[in-house]
Amino acid sequence: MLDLPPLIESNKNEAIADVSTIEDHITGQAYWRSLEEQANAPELLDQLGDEFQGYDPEEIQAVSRRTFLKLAGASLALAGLTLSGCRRWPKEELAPFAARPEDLIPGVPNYFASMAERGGIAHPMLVASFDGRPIKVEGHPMAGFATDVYDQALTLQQYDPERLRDVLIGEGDDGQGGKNISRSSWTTFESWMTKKADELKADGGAKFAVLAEPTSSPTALRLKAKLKAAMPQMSWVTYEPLGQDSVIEGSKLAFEGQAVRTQYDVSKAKVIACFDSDFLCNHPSATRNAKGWAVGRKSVDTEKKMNRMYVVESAMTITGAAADERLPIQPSRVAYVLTYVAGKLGVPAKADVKLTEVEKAFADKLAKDLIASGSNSVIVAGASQPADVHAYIHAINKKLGTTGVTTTYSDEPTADETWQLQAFADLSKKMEAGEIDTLLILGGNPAFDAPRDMFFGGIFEKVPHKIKLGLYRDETAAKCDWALPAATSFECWGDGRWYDGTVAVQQPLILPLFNGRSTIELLASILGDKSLQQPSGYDLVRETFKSGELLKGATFAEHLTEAGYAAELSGFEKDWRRTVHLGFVPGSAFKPVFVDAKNTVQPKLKESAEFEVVFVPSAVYDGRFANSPWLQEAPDPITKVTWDNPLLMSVPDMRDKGLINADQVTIKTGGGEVQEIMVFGQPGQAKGTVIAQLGNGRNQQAGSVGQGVGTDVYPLRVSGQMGFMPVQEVSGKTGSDYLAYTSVHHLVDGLSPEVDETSKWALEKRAGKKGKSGKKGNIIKEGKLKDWKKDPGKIMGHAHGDLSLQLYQGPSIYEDGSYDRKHPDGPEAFNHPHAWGMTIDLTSCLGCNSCVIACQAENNIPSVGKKQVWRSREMHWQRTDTYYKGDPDKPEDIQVVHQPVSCVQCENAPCEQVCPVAATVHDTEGLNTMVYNRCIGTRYCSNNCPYKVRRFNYFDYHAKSVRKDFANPWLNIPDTQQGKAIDQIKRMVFNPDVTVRMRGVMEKCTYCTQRIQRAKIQQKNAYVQSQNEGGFTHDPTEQKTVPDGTIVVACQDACPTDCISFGDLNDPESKVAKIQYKNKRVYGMLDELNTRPRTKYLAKIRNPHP
Amino acid sequence: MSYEQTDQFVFPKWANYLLPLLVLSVLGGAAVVPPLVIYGGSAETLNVGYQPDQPVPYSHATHVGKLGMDCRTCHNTVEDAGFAAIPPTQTCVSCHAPGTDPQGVPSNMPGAHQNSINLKPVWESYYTGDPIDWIKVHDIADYAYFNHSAHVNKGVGCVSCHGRVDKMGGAGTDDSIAGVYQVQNLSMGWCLECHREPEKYLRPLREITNMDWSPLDNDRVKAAIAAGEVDEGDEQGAQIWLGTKLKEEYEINNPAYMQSCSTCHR
Repeated sequence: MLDLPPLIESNKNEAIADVSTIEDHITGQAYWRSLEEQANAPELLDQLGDEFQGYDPEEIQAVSRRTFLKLAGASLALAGLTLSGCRRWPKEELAPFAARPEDLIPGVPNYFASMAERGGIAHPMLVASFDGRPIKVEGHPMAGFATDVYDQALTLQQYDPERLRDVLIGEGDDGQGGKNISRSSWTTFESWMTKKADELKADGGAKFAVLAEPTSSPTALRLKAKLKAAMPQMSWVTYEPLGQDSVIEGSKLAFEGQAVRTQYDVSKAKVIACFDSDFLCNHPSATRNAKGWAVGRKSVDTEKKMNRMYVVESAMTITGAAADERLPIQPSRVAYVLTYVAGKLGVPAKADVKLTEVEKAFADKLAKDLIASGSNSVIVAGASQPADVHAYIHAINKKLGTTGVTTTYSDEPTADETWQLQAFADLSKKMEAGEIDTLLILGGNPAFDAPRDMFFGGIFEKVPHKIKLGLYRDETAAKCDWALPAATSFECWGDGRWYDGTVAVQQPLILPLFNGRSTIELLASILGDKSLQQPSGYDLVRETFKSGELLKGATFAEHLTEAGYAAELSGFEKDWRRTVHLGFVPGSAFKPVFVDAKNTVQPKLKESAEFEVVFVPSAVYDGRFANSPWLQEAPDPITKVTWDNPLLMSVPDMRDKGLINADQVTIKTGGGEVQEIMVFGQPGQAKGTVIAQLGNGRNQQAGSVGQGVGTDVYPLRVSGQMGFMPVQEVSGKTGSDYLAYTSVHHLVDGLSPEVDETSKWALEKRAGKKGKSGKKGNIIKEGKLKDWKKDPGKIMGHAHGDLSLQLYQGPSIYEDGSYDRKHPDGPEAFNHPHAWGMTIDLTSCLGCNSCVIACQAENNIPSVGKKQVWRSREMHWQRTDTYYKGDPDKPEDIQVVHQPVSCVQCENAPCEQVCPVAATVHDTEGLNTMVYNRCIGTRYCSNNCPYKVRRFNYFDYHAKSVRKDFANPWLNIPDTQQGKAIDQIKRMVFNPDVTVRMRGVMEKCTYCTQRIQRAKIQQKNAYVQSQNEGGFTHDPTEQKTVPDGTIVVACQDACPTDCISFGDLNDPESKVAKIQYKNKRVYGMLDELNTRPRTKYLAKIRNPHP
Repeated sequence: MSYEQTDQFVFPKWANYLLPLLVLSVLGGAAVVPPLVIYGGSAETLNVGYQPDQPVPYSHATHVGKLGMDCRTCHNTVEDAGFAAIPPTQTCVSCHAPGTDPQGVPSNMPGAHQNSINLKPVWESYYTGDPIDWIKVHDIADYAYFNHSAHVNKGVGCVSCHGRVDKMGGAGTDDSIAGVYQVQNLSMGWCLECHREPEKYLRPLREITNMDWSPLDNDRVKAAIAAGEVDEGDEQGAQIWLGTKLKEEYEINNPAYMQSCSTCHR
């Protein structure tokens, strides 16, 4: 491994410690993506020009010309000797089914409605199964909301070869904190467990405890009740490190002990106020909230009205970045602001709450807006805030009268009898006292993620028999005497409830790859149900549906006609089949619960510490996805950091402490100490806060991908302060390492102004010059709603860019070089028979990464590893550029615009003009196609692409371990043959409709051309077949082209806010054509270059308080 | 360091005779290597005639040629899917039911050739559920996405690419002759021949699986001959006359579209 210096070290003075000169800088761009760019750090400019970044030039030259010629000669001779070109490629076998199932056509994907549960919430999804392999998760079209990044990444987890494969018995001590393991079987476990269960039943199960993840599964809850009936004295405790404990507890405080769940209808909200809540991205119903929020944003086009979102928060979250008004403050100050606002609204509140000027100005605006919007308001606090804050919000809601309008209350199926953490603490005490004989852990990883004041310090070891069911042999399983492999959500039957309570069914798409079993199957086998030879999830779930109330009042007719699916059946069988077909029971959502917040519980106002730490999930959620390279490598939506979870600090705090990005510090709290954790300066983050991202920093038990990525920050956390807590000390610099963040990569406006006048001009032209009003760049266009209503032209500027200054002269029918794609005589119109186009609405884009992971899953995009990312070699076809505006020293000043960028399919494409082998050319429908088999890897196209959307395979990334870098890649010729080297299990996740690219090939987005082709062929076949029956009539009304809405591209499907539209520009009625030709907010990125992009952006309109 | 003169690095005299030899071999190589590479590496040489041994010596000549079975009897997904699926074992067994069950108990509904040793792998697959591993004959590169349904629904006959499958394999009792072999080279240039001028190859949809169809048999062509639009006996002219008509009727895309990279490569 190369010993790499931190990327941005010597810019200490430039980037972080001293920005007094920013105003004087030549560029002083109004928009910037990183602090380095903002300060115009020379290192950044160097890096942009450095092709082989991070490689020692000496090392590259170490291969002398003589050696190179020797190698070249040898490889030529070898090629000649074996005549490797002159033979048929390897023999391929075809293995047809012995008995092909009905409705299964080999090579045609089937879609199954299913679900996956996380944190006690079922996420609905459609799963594409290709010849029996689940390979892609799509949103459930009837659910009305999309999937999130973690749902998208489930397919990769399905084919993780490092999952637990067998039942393992652990004994003794292996000297590394784990146990010596030997392989066992389910039969052995079952016979042991049956005996044990009888033993435990003797004293009512007093010595038996279950530690489970929260679940809403009716079957699991049914079996839990059964187990409790069999062993009344047993304890069942639920624990989730990122749980909703404070939210549930808050509702109990407000509603006299009744736990309820708040259901939001954000689409009806005029004002949304979030108090330390990442409401649109990290919330149990985030994707649904985001959908509703987007409705209120898109109304800017129809009604010239928008909702207004106020966010009070410490971290810069996705919700905060989307806010119209944002107040970054310490987490302990949130209660102060809330109390002040409540007082203004007439809710009983402590008088004389002392706020700072900035806080007061914000709170006054918010209170005024809330009074005006009344019941059309949504107020929400994050799970990191204490219970009394949540209770107070219920009182405010009551005052505003939001119940029944934007909020309703419903049952909370995951609420336990006691507060979950309290129950967990009680269990810990029992374990310590030796009162527990057998502990069954169903999912989760408490030995890694439990608060440090319970479960740790030898408590766990005091339990004689520990059983763990999980996908991996993780930190917890390593300490258990039984490690049982769990089945994934694609491998077993199950059920659950969506956030709104709708009952969902999970159906398996593949047999368990690694002998796994589901939670319900394990519970049933412990219960010793003798009626089941081997407990089958199918029977268990059916039993629940048959005996329970779940199907009562189901409104199947909403989605299925009476004559439709399973019409030949009747009674339960019919309902069951329809439920499995739909994946949910329509009309089974929770009925509203009517509760009244009689007593107003006021939040305690606590003194703020100098520094406070807030705990948020990292890229791998709570750590469960640590072995997923997709999630590890997805640039964080805000920080853009990959493969790490640095401690986030505010820019002024970093300056005070003399820290720069990637410096290491020590942080100490009441819970513990974390050493050598890197810091990262996050613009917009509140002063006096540090953000700790939970989940990374796992040991070797995480698997080869996850081990040792980042730093474990769970040791800081103690119970009672699971959301945020005071920091005792943040040290100064103790060392430094390097961070791979992509905000400094692929800079669209990253030209050195020192180069020449043209570059300087281009930079100003594109990014907009600070201080010059009215001059807007052609990358981002944005403005305020107020200004938009007055004069849209002011925000949009020149609608077509400055065509006289175009870089690429394209054919034109007009003298001035301008261009009209709809003109029938237009040259190179690329519109036969379709003209594909896309629009991306910046007003409703959250920058949440769903599209990035969906694209990766759909298009077989490899992960490359931290060092390769550091060298700007990440392969994501779609990236999200996050632009900041404002002074990084004033967190409250920072504004954010997200811009998803993938290939914009230029009609006048610069990349095509420089390809020496015509490997990238246009098709007749406007796709800028990329022919992998023709590409020779000159990378000219990437160099010439102004959007920087082309990605090059420097290595056979699929065949290479993401955690290993080549010691000297220049001598590694030839590379291992990709086809042979890719793991047999890992390759099962590939989409067979997309070529798997090899080393030396350029790739990029082609609008999911495989989906387009599939739809076109289906449409054409249907047309010909229908005509063939009645003779060819040439009926012009007959649909020969693909109707609008048939093709949903991967990023579009995954977008929770529907900000991406895709379709045929030839069809004037298509959604995308209507937007591109009629919406006034449309602009083409870098339009002034005359590249004529097919992907257009819609300007971002903000709605701040006037 | 001392420096001594040595003969070590001087060529011996006899080496002079090697020079003409070297010239000869270079010239000879220049004459031999290019044809060797061009011919030896061509799709024609590599692919045409490829005829691997199959696990079951299935004879298309018997089933299609002699018994007259339609291609779609077995390859039934060809009109709906990109992949013309090899039939499941069940399809074979629907005619060739085994004479006995695995325990040796005679079946009361045995099928054809119930004693044939060649059908053993079929029955084994039928009883175990394990697939028969056929060897792929028409194997195009993984980066080219050929779709059967898109072709057979537009009037491209099976015979155009697969040749006279009805004559492949042993007819009658001669099971020793192996099955299908590759007739066309399946190179990109060969694909483009038709993508540029589809009218040369199109036929009416109902004749798709007909192995010895000629445009001259077509009723519309006969009428055209009667009307004097096509010369009598001019097969090529008849094909182009009919193909042009069918191209319009089947809404075949224009050649520019059909030669777009995205049509076949993804």
